[in-house]
Amino acid sequence: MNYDEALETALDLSGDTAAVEAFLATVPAWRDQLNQAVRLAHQTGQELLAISPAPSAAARRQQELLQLVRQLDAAREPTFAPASRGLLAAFARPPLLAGASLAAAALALAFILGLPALNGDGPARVEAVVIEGSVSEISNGAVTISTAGSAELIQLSSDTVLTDSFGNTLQASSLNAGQTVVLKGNRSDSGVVASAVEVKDRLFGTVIAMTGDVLRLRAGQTEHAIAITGDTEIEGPIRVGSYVEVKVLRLSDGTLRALEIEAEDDDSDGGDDDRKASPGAIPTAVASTPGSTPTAGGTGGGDDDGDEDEDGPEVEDEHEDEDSKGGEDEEHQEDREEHDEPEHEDESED
Amino acid sequence: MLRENGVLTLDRKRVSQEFLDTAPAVRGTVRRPIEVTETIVFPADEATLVRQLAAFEAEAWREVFERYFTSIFRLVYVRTKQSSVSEDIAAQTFAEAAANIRSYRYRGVPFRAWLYRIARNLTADYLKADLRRPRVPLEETWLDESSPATDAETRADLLVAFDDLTDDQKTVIQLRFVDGCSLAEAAALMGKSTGAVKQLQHRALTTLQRRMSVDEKAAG
Repeated sequence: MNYDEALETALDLSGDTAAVEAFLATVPAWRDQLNQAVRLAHQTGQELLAISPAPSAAARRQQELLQLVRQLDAAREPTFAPASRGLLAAFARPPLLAGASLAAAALALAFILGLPALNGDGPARVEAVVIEGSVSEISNGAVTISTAGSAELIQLSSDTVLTDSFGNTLQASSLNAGQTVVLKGNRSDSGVVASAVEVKDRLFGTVIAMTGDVLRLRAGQTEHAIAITGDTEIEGPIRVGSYVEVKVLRLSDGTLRALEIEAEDDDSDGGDDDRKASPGAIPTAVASTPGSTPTAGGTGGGDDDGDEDEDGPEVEDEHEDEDSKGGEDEEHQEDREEHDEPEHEDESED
Repeated sequence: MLRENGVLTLDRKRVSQEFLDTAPAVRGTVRRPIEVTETIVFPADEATLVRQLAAFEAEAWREVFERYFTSIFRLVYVRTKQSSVSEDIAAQTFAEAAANIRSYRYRGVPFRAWLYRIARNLTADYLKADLRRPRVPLEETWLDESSPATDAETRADLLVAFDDLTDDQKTVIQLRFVDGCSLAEAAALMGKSTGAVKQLQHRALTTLQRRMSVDEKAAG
């Protein structure tokens, strides 16, 4: 167990003093620090809990909302578009005809939605899957994804959406062997068809050489040369032979630049926390005392909140960035995206 | 709560939360060459709730308001530090949600996350327009003088330290230690990865610890 895991366990127990005490006794090296963290978390939570609106104000606001809801309900547009009204009208017919119309409508809907159960072949088994692995082969609109101990052929279709970790849409030609991808799709008897593929900006592999400012990584059968810069953030001791995760930036010329390198086979640095070595240098060994106190707040350089996934397509936010720390005004420095538009996108699979 | 129905097992460290959020119907296992480390449960009843909200069912809106109004008020308050403004923004959040609910598509992300985003945007709008207003320390505007944290001095120090956190760190602290969310739940609500939320929490607690230690030393 590393410090972060111990902290999580202690925090999970924080409502139960005896349990916390019992747990802390099992991790004497971090006992004081964990105890302080749990106490502070609890106290802060209690302080925050004291914040609440006046009950009368809340009741008044609730009534205003309900009134608005009634107005919106009264004013709303008809639910169905004109093209669908035929189906609606079918249900309004006399019962005898309505039964036939209902079946026709169901078949029409099944055709539109592609539901296999109504195709006359009996129910087909379709399983939604999420698979992560590395691309090992690409050919004729299909990719082979290697996962633990197996490889699977995944069909891409014209509806398959490819994105990078930042949500940017990619062309199918952007897929390359060696890339780590997460795909979402449906598995049927005829195989897996991907509805969405996210190309991860992370590579996992074994360091096979470190020369100058270049780290060479072997990921499966593929070798990658990744440039280290002064902004590269490095966690944990990185040596030849280390299994590492590298967050990379793929430059326009196809070369890779390391944004973050994290040793995967060394838990002593506390896992996901921000105890990092000085940027730009590959230490032969980074002393990382569990529970050591890092400097709080980023300096605006990297993505050290580790979140490559912030900007979801379904909602838009104010782009607050942990790294844009500029004191209390950080939210003022960020451009706010529109929020009064509906904050979501349709997905065909929905 | 998030842990009621339907199980989606995923690797919290490696799989983009956003990506999984777009797969509400998925009930499967992420397969990859490292261990599965966390289970997130998405609420099956949330889709029903959203349908009721979209049909403008008063009871559904009443329920959502009662569930989340205080939490959103709190979220806004730690940023604006003004009770009446926080009340306005929290109420406006629900009004915006009602106005846009017909085009909202439930995709597995908790509905509350959408409310939070609206609230955050409205708060950002307000603060942008309010740049010239002098900043007021949080401890001077705290609503409840009888809150249960130890002595007054410690409490004041704690509030000063809390005020030093970034907005995201404050949100994590609120979600984790007031609303009782797990890391994964907080991540889903904030639209961040679990790892990012873990880091935010780590930093928040580290900042609080450091500030409180400094204050204790200064007092000693």
